[in-house]
Amino acid sequence: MVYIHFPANFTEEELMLQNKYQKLKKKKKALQVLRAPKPEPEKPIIPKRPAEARDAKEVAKKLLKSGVIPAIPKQQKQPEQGFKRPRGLERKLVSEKTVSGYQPFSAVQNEVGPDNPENKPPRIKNLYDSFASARDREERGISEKPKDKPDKPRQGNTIYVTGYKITDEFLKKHFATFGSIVNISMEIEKNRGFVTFDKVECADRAITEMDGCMVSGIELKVSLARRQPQIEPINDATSSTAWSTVAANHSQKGNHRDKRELVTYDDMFD
Amino acid sequence: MSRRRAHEEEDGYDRLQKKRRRVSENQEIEDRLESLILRVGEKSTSSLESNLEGLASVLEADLGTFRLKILRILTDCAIRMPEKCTIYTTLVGLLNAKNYNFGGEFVEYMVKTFKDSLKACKWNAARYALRFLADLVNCHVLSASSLLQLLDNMIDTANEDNVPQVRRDWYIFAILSTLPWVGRELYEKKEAALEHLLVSIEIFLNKRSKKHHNALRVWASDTPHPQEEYLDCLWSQIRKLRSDNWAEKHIPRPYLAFDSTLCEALQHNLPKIIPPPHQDSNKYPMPWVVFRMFDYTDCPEGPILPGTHSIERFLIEEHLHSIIELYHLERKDCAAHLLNFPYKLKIPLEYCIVEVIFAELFNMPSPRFLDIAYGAMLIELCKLQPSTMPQVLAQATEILFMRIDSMNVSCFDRLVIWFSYHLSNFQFRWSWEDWESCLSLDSEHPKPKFIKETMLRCMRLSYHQRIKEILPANFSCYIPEKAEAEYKYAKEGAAALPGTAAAHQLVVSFRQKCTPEEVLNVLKDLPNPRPDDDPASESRFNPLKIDVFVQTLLNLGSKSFSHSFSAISKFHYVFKILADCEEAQICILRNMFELWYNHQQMMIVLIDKMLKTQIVKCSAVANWIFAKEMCQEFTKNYIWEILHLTIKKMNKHIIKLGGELAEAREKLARAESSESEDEEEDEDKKKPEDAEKPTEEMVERMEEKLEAAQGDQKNLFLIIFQRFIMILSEHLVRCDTDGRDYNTHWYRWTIGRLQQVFLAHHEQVQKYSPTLETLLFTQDLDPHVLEVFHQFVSLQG
Repeated sequence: MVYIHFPANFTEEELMLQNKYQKLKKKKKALQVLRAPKPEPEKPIIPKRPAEARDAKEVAKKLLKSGVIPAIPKQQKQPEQGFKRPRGLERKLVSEKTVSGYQPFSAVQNEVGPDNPENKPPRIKNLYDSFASARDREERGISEKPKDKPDKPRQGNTIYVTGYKITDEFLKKHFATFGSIVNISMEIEKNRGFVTFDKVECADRAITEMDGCMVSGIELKVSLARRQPQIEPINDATSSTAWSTVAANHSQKGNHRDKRELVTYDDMFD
Repeated sequence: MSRRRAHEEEDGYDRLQKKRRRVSENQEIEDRLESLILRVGEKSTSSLESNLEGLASVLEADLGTFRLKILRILTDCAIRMPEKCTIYTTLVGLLNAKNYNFGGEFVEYMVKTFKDSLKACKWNAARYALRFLADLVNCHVLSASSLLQLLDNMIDTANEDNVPQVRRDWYIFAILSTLPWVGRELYEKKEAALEHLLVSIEIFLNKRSKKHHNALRVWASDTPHPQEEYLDCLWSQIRKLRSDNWAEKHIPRPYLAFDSTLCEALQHNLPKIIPPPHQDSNKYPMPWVVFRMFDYTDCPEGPILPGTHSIERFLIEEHLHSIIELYHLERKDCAAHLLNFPYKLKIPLEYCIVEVIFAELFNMPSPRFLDIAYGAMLIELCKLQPSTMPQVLAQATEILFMRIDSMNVSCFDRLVIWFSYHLSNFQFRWSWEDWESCLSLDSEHPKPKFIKETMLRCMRLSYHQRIKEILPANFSCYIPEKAEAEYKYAKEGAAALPGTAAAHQLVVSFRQKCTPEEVLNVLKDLPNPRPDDDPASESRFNPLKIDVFVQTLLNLGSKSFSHSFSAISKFHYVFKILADCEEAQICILRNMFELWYNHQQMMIVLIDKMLKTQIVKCSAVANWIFAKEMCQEFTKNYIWEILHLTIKKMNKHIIKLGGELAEAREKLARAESSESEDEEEDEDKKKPEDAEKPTEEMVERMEEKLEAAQGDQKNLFLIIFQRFIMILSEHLVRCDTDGRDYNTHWYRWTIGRLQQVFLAHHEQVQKYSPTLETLLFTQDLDPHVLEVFHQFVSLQG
């Protein structure tokens, strides 16, 4: 049995990596705080590598066409891709709405693994590692099926409304004219709310007609919500969309406010 | 651990340290091995085949030191992770190829596990062990002929006479559910023997009685999807598999990659295995009906849902059921694992999951786990997969509602409970307008009733004002009444009532924190309205006193359940004095109803409390439910909730007394035997036992108590069934003489409730089935009613 002994002190490089990790963690937290209260239902996780490869390819094609760079012989493609990836990853980390907790392992490892078993002497350590990484990933839970959706022009059926002291009744009253509302979620204390219509057109109309308007003495700002619960009806049960939007909301409590009056009793059997 | 502790006392410090180090080193390796074995087959950066090969080499090297440990872990994995069966059989196959002796030891160990599981009535474990042995044939560890010998022995067991059918069924089920794994191999190597096996199974199935089938169905109707008995369904699936030359597409078979290595290995033969004989104490799995609500036309484009009779459907469902079983206590993990199903890209997973969860929820006679567990699971699934899951669930709800006409009453109840719970977690949103057609239906029709009962249930999870808002205006007839007490002595015109003065006096006394005796004093002058109250008769009571007392007390406690409870316990004495006979207790219930008829949940908890505090007897509740004046309420769900809670209370009491008696008897026997055997045993060991030792007299008294309670229980069941028979027979006879169709909504609800009482409490009712047969369910009874009894009898027959 072979045991690997780890030195007690960290090397310089390790310390540097640790610091970097801490910084990234802080950034991630800040990002999460920034975005947390908004609904973020179904973020199609696009397989990282292919997309990036395509990006890089597109850029390269353009550059080639414009004649900025000469064509590179084919063998060199591999290292270049490998070199570029970290940059792509960095961009991803910054630009993503929420930082996903984990990233799939790079494909490089994959290529070495199964194809040449001689590479991999059956040592406990190796086996253990290869199991563990995958398992950790799995235990975090599963996200949506990855869906390959190229960026369409932004549209959706959820709009974002801000205005001083608006309430859900207010939104219901003034936006119902644009189409049937499937869901309203309010952030009362922040003077804003999200209205989901059943159709995209209704949302569009609401934005064009209401943005910048004064309604009952309140100036409204209306725009497309950044997060769009993407619900494509897969069947004709009409309640599907309602349940989907509620499920997509992070806060399950909804915006219900209890309007009951206090009832008093004779307390005699306390 | 235990090994270490044992040494601690005798060893010196140094030796202890040394030992500890060695043990912990070994422990570390063992833990590593265990973790490796457990994890093989999970997602990994290298292929399963190379992982298996690597692991086999590691284990081979460690066989010397950790033989027993490895044997144990592998067997555990086989039983606890049945979904990874083929991975572990491959591993065992590889080990067998390297080390023939170890292969033999493993087979021995597995056979022992199989036998032990059979003996301990761990039926699923036994099935998994059998499947594992069968799959070892695929890995060239076992010979096909010796497996066939075992299967033949099991067929013989299934054909034994004078044993319960459920036992015989299980053996057939175990064989059939093994065939998807090993069918192909047997077909290639021993076709004739396999055919012979199948013919024997077919003969068995043709002779088999299926009286229980109708009682266990979720829907009475077979359109659009047949609701098949589980063995029939599996048999059809196996036949389909056979016609496909035993080729299935669902089971991963890693051993195929090692064919060249494995086929060189020597095979073992299974020893002769004779299944343990039947014991009366054995509990066998109940039969079930395969629940089906979707077919491929219900699913959107994409992967196709396997057909009812394709073996893949069986394999998928079995796997999903086992995930639910494993994680039912952790709803989040459960949802995550369900959605992470290994073959999720090949099937419409959401549909499979929803169907399987509803199958569990609707399982007859009762679901495996609490109904709330399934509700919570579905909510988690919706949250985790918001783009599809809520939609599939909404579609399922529509389908369930559409087919509710022929739904079994117990399932109707569970559907109401689930739907209201789900709504309460989804802001009570639903497109009620789609169900508008209900408005024109008879209010006893299952559809309008479902809406009404759902609203009543929502009232428990919300409040009246809110419920009023969730329904469209034209649905107002489904909005429940506001749940308030109706106190008649404070209403207009109360002065004309005979008890008003006393009631007002009583309110004042309660306010002054009076004692129970003072209450009786206030009530003492109330006249008895019963003219024929013969002082000699047993049931002497004054209904007016009960009326004034019960309504006033409960009204004053109406603020909350706890206020009502403390009112009841404070004046428990008054209840006991006023109502010592059953008729008077029914009078209490009647007055409670008069006050609280708009608040079903209150009535349920009050009756529960009064049963617990023995203010009313179980039989009084049963008689009250079947009384003429309650006929308006008779088909409402809460009435049956009350009846079932009453029966359950009785049953629990019996089980508790039985347990206590058994314990006391055992203690007595132990004490006696230890006394006779060795009287010289050290004193301090004996003393505590002596102190606990029950006397013969105590045991006898407990026996008497149990007998009396069993008498009560029998009486309760007799009352309930007799009343059912009376009202049902009356209805049937009247319809016959009037020339009307007997099959009304009322009739279907009532016969369904009768069925429910039999099924929900079958374990307890079973004891009395001979009595019931001779006293109540006699041959001259209407065949419709008798049929329900026969279905019940065949359930564990």
